Parts: sequence; structure tokens; C-alpha cells
Amino acid sequence: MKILLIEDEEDIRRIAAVSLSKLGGMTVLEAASGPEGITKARTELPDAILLDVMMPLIDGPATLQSLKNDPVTAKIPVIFLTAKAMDDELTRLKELGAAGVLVKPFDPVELPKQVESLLRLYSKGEVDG
Amino acid sequence: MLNSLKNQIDYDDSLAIKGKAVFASIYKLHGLLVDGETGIRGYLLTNDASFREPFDTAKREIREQSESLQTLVANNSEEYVLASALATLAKQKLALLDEMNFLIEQGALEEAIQIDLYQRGSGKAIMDEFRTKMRALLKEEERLSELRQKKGSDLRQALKQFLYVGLFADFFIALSLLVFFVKGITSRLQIMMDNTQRLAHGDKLNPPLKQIDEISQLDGVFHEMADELQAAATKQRAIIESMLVGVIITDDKGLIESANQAVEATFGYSRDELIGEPLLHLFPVLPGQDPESFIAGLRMKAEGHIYELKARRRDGALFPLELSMTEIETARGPRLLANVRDISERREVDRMKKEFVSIVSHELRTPLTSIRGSLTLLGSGAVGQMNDEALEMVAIAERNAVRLIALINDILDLERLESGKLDMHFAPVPLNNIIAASTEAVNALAAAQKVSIQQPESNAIVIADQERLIQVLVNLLSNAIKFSPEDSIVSVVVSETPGWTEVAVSDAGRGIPKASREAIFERFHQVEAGDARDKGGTGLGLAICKTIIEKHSGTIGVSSQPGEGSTFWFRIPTASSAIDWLDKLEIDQSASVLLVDDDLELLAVMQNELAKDGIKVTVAASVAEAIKQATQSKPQLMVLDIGLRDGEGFEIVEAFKQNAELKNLSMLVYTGRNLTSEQCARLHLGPTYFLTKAKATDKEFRSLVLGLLHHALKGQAAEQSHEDTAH
Repeated sequence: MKILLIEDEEDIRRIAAVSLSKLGGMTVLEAASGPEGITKARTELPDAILLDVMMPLIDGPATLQSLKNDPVTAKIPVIFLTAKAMDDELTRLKELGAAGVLVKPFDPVELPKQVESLLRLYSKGEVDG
Repeated sequence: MLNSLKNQIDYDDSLAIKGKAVFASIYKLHGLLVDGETGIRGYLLTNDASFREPFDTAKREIREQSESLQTLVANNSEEYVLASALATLAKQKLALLDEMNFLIEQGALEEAIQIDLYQRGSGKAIMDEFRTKMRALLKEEERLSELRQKKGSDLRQALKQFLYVGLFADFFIALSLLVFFVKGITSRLQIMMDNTQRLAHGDKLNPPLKQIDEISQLDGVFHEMADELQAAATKQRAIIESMLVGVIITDDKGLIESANQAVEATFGYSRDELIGEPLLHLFPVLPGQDPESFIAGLRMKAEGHIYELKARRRDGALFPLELSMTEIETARGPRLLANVRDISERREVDRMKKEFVSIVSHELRTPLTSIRGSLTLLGSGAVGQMNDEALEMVAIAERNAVRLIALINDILDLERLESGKLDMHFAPVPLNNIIAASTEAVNALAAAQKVSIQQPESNAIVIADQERLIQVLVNLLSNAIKFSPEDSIVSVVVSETPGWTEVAVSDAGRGIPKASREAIFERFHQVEAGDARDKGGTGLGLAICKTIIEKHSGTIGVSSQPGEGSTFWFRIPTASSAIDWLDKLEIDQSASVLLVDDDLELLAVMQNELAKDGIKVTVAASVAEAIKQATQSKPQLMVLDIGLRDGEGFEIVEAFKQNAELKNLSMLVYTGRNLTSEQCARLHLGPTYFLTKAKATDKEFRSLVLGLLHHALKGQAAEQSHEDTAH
């Protein structure tokens, strides 16, 4: 599975990348900003995108919007990574069209399993829907 | 003059004595001569010398006697002449008698007889002459004596008159002096009286009196006293003026009498603008608020303690103010002393401090999260195998990173709780749910410590933020488990009192020494220094619990017997459910209910409804009125609407919370508004119930009020008997 990681904080991005590749056996693409992520998504067409919410200039929701507006990337499931764990915040993010929301700080040992289970749930929902 | 009169009288008296001496002297002289002659004759007849004795006496004394008489009358020439004549005659007579004596002694009796005959004949002339002169002298002396007597009486008369005149003069002089002095005294006393008035009004005193007497001395002392008072007052004024805290003194109606410089600086008004104005002038005015009820409300909240409220500056800007009030008794009646302090700066510093803590914590959390993540990955072997020692080091590093993150999370939690950034979602929650969720969360820990948890069944429903209350109970339970010996029991006990539900968690651990029992609820306080390391935990858990429970309008505490374990408990308000079991209740006739609603028609309806049951009802349509009524009638229950003429029901509740007599008042919140759970939590005094206006019938309203009243009276009675046993 090919996964694109859009996260501005390099350390977090590296930890997540190592976790997903070494423990989850995924192919990880990294992007340090929204625009970079959008470009990589169009060219690499990953199976899923892990998107940080809080980023400078173009934040997570705005990036998601761009991805959804582009028919090439519109169908790629996007999972948000957020530090805000409030219920209403999670709901709001889901309503934007995300496949799921993961709360930061994440446990790097658990991260691949969480991503996989969210994607499984999402694809099931897509099929059902 | 008086003295000379007296001298004169004394002199005259001495003259009178002298007069008597003159008489005596004349008669003596005459007697001497007659006796001498008789003696000589006897000698002649008998030739017996013993008969001659009177003559011898006469011969011896006549000269002396004559001289004495002359001396006595020496200052009266007429008398002196007579006395001299008498002396001469006496001398002549004596010479004759002496001649006879000589003749008799010589035996020449014949010649002696001749002389005697001569004496009786022509010689008789000497004695006649003597007697004539003697009488003249006596007469003169008598005349003089009479004259003296008359003069004496004249003198006495004069003296008497003189004394009368003197007495009158004395009286007159005394009277004049009296008038003079009295006039001087009263005018000066008037000046002193005026001075006392001036002193009282703080005016300049009259200049000191110049005379040297007691009144002037008194005036001097008064001036000194006034100076000292002035100095003391100046000092006091200087102290009050220089105080950083604003000091306002008002009369008992709340009109400002004085204010210090800090007040001017705080509010932007000059003193002249403030004096005479109501204190209300310095605060935002709510509709319908009058100065008197404002003061009454303020006193209730701020008397004896520090109260915070919004105040208004001259330019209309609102700012947070700290206020405390004290009633002082003065000679001019009771006054209110208000201390005011602008705390906007302090608030700002507080805010910045908290913001700083918040930012620092966030900034720490991000790198710590990365550290932890990397360590977790390392430990998982995802990036290559390590030997056992390397794995141990990684585990230590990870464990400490976890602890640091937990600490930072707690600090952020506490900060958000205290700053109100963390929203509390209050709702009626079955206590059972909370206990079940909490025990489930600590089950693993309990199993690891070989401790079993005993939990009760409770059907209590509390007003709570479920997640936060679970956080509290989990914290208390995990503390209890951590400090419990192996194979012991941690028990949870629920008890209910009117309006309140108490949850207690007991362990059989080492207990908490008395000195620490309050401190453990403070930040970073642990009973023993090594607890954080040995037992885990940040030292903030109980501080967070305390803050959460306080947000629930509750209390938290601990009782403990060192060596035998501790019991941590918290108490929060019980929620009400529909009450329909109270239809038939006997209500005490002394029961009193306060109805607060701005809808006067509804007030009348409710009043009628309740009057049927013989309940004493007082009504109020405004915040101010409600506070006034409640203080007067001391009701057992208040039915409270939220929207009122001059404010909101919240203000009444806040005010009552500060009043010892009203803070546990039972309350029925009866409003058309949809209250948030947070608002509900704010509306708590004693047992508190909520009823939505549109949804309740009159009957439901009545039965609810009766039920609550019954509950309140029962609670009161229980408290009373409890107190009785306690004493």
C-alpha cells in the first residue's frame, strides 16, 4: 500500500513514516506542506493520504478541499491527524469528507493498525453506500 | 482713716482712765492732809506719839502725791495751775503741822495749842483754800470727763457711719467688679465655645486669649489640643491619601462623603464631582436599580469579604473592581467604608501568566511527543534489534517522557479548567454510570496491585459533567489503589443528604498525616517526597479533582487515620426528577416562600395558588427587591425566574451564596428559558430544582413547591436536632 504523509513538522513526519513503513510495511511518500502534498498526490496517486490539520498557510481542511475538487485525487481516502481531541472538532472534520480522524499524539506502534482499520471501515462504508 | 478713728478712741479711753486717776489723786492728797492734822491733834492731846502716825505718812507721801497729781494734769494748763496751787497749799499746811509736831516734841504744848488754834482760826484759810481749789480741779476734771465722753460717742457715731458707708461702697465695688469680670469671662467663654464649634467643623480657631488667668490658660490648652488633633488628622489624611487602595466613605444611604486620591485615579472623577453622589454612580446601572437597593445588595455581597464586580470609569469604560465594605459607627451616625481596587492589571497579569503556562506547555508537548514516539519505535524493534541493556535504557527514557507528557497534560488541564477555557457540560447523570466507568478504568491497576474494589448500587442522579466527574473518581480510585496494601479492599460509598450526593473512596493504606490533609489538594503536594517516583502521578491530580468538583458547586475533602487508611470524598448537587409524591403533605404554617418573577400577573396567580395551603408568600419582581425581601422574611424556599426587571436571577443566587443564612436556601428555578447545564450548575444554593414554565401546569407547580418546602423544613429540623445532639 502506498500512503502519502502530509505533515509540516519533520520529526513527527519521520516517526510516522518509520512506523508506517517498518511496522506497517507500507510505501510512504512524504510532503512537508499542503501544496507539496497536492502535487505529490496528483503525480503519485497514493492509496491513502494522512493529512495534518494544523499547518501554516494552507492547512489540512484547505488541502482536503483542493484534493476533493480535483477529479484525479477526489477519490483518495484522507485521514486527518489532529491535536484537538474535542468531539465537535472530530465531527466537523469528518463532515469535511475525511475518511477518518486520528488524534495526536499518536502511538507509533499502534499507528499502522489504526490507519488500516480506518481505511477498512471507510471502504466498507463506500461499498455499502 | 478708720485707723486714726480707732487711735483717737483708744486715746480718749486712756484719757478717761487718767481722769479717774486725777480724782483719786486729789482725794488722796486731801485725805493725807486731814489725817495728818487729826494725827497731830491727837498727839497734842495725849502726847502719845502713836497718834502722830497719820502725820508721818502725810509728811512722807504728800510731796510725791502732789507731784503725781501735777504730772497727771500736766497737759491741761488750767488744771495744772490748780494742781500746783493744791501742791503749794498742801506744803504750807504740812509745814504748820510739822511746826506743831516739833513744839509738842519739845514740850511746848502751849505754843502748839496756839498754832492749832491759829489753824482753826485764820489758819483755817489754808484748808478752805485747798478745798476750793480742790473742788475747782474736780469740777474741771468732771467737765473734761463729760466732754471726753461726748467726744467719744461722737467718734463712735462717726465710726458707725463710716462703716456703713464703707459697707455700701464695698458692695458697690463688688457689684461693679462682678459685672466687669462676668462680662470678661462670658465674652471669653463665648470665644472658647466658638472655638469648639470651629474645631468640630475643621475651621481655623480664634487667636489665643492674651490675659493671664485660668480661662486663658484653658484656652491655651484648648489651642494645643486642637493643634495636636490637627496634626493627628493631617497625619491620618496623609496616610489615607497616600494609600494605593481607594477609600470611599458614604453615609448609610450610600451617598459619597469622602474619597481619597486613589479613588480619583481609579475612576477618573475629581472628588468634587463625587461628593454627594450615590455610590451607584461608579458602577454600570442596571434598569430599575435605585441607589438604596444597590447599596443593600452591595453590602450583602461585600460586607466583611472581598467581592469582585464591574465598575465604570468617568469615560464609561468598564473595569474589574475588587470591593470590600465595612460599616463604621461615627459620632454622626453609621457610615459605610468601602475599599476599592482596580484589578484590571492583575487580571491582565493573571491572563498573561496563564497564557504563558499554556504556550510553554504546548511548546514542550510537541518535542516531547516526538521523543516519546521515537523511543517507542526504538523499543518496538521496528528500526533494528538492540541488546537488553540498550532496550532498558530506551525503556527508562520512554517512561520518563511519558511522565513529562502526563505532567504537561495535567498542567494544561488545570489551566484550562481554571481559566474556563475547558467547557464543562453539565447534565443530570446517573451516579451509577460514573462509578461503573471509573472502576472499569482502574480495574487493570487494581488487579496489578492485588486490590479489590467494592462498589455500591446507587440510584442517585447528579448534575455533572460526566467525563470530568469520571476523571475525578478515577483519580481518587487510582490513588487509593496505589497506596493500598496487597489483598486489601478499596470501597466506594454513596450517601445522600437533602440536595447533595456524597461519594467516598476509602482505602486501607498508610493514611495521611493531619498536617497534609489540606495541602494535598494544592498543586505539586505529595505526602512523601518519593511518591511521585514510586507511585507515579504528577502531584496535580488532586488539585485537578478539587477544581473540577468546585466547578460542580461541590466540595472535596479527606478524612484519615494515619496507619489505618484514608477516605477521600466529594459532594455535589443532586438533580431532581419529577416530584409527584407530594400531593398530600402537611405544611407547617410558619413556612415561607419567596416568589421572584417580573411577570406580576403570574406572581399573583402563584401567590393565590400557594395561599390555599396557608403558606406565607412574599413576592419580588427585581433583583434588588428579592435580596431585600429574602433578608427580611428569611424564606425556606425561593421560586426564581431568571429574567428580571433589573437583572438576572443569577445575581440573586450569587448574592445569597455570600450570605450565611441564605446560602443553603432551597430553590425552584422556574423559567421559560432553556438553561444550559453550565447555567444550571451556577444556579445552586441548597437543594435546587428546575421547572420549565411552559411545560408545567399550575398543579404541578403547586405540588413541586409544597414538596420542596416540606423537604426544606424537614432538612431544617434534621439539622436542628443534629446540632442539639452535637452540643
